Amino acid sequence: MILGKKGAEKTISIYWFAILIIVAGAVVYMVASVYGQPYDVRQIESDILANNIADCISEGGYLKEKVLNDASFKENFLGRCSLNFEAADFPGTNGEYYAEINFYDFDSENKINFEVSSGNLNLKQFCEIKGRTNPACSQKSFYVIDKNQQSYRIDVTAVVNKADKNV
Amino acid sequence: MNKIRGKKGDILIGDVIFLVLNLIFLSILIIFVISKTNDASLLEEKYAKEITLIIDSAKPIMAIHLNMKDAIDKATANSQDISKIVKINGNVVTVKLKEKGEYSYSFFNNVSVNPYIDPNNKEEYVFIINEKK
Repeated sequence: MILGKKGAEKTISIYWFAILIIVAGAVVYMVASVYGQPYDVRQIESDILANNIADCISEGGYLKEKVLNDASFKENFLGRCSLNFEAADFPGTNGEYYAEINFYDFDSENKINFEVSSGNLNLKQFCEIKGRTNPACSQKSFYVIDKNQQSYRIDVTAVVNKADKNV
Repeated sequence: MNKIRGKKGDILIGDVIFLVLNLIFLSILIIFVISKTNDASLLEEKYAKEITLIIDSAKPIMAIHLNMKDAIDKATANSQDISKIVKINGNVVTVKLKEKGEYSYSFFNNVSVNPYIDPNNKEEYVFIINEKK
């Protein structure tokens, strides 16, 4: 009876030891999976970028002057919208950002031949592909009217890569 | 009778050792989790990215106060100058809380940012956003 009890205790202690190892392994794995990966803020960044571009070209539902069909806006888009796409913390890359603006006639839905874009065009293709390691993409569409009451739909696409520090 | 008492005593000692070992095991796990969650590298990354997002969303002539108590405590514990925790060089935010290593992250908003520790509240950093000249 006494020997049986000792044997049972030994069996329990072996199981208990195994349980301790499993619990420790699970805790280490969970902590490593949560804290071992960088914070991925790219989606927030691309949303902010799209919002900043929208604020740059419209105000209170009105299209700002010297935007549509203005060659200087197209040429100096980053400067006019107070954007800087240089990323010194990502040396040796072709650019970590891409931004594009497309204008459409609201009534006819015809695209107006005035497309504005800047940054690394290669990033745009990833907007159609879902994946954790792919660049974050934000697409924003809104309605504006100009001073002549002409209405337009504007599509803004903003892409942020920065995969090295977010994935 | 004596033998039975002796056996009971053995069981008690075994239980105590078992409990102590369990407590040691749990303590090691808790210390591991706490050390990981309060790691200086994690705080550096968290604040560098947080400050970057704040600056990206900001407009010129804004003053933004950010409570960085945990980062400042960590920097103080690591004998770092708390007035130099956050540096902004061009459009790159760098947060440094320990002797070796730092974390940098860039922002796209083309503004000039002046960071300094709040003289009235040593737990906060102030970011003055201005237009770039």
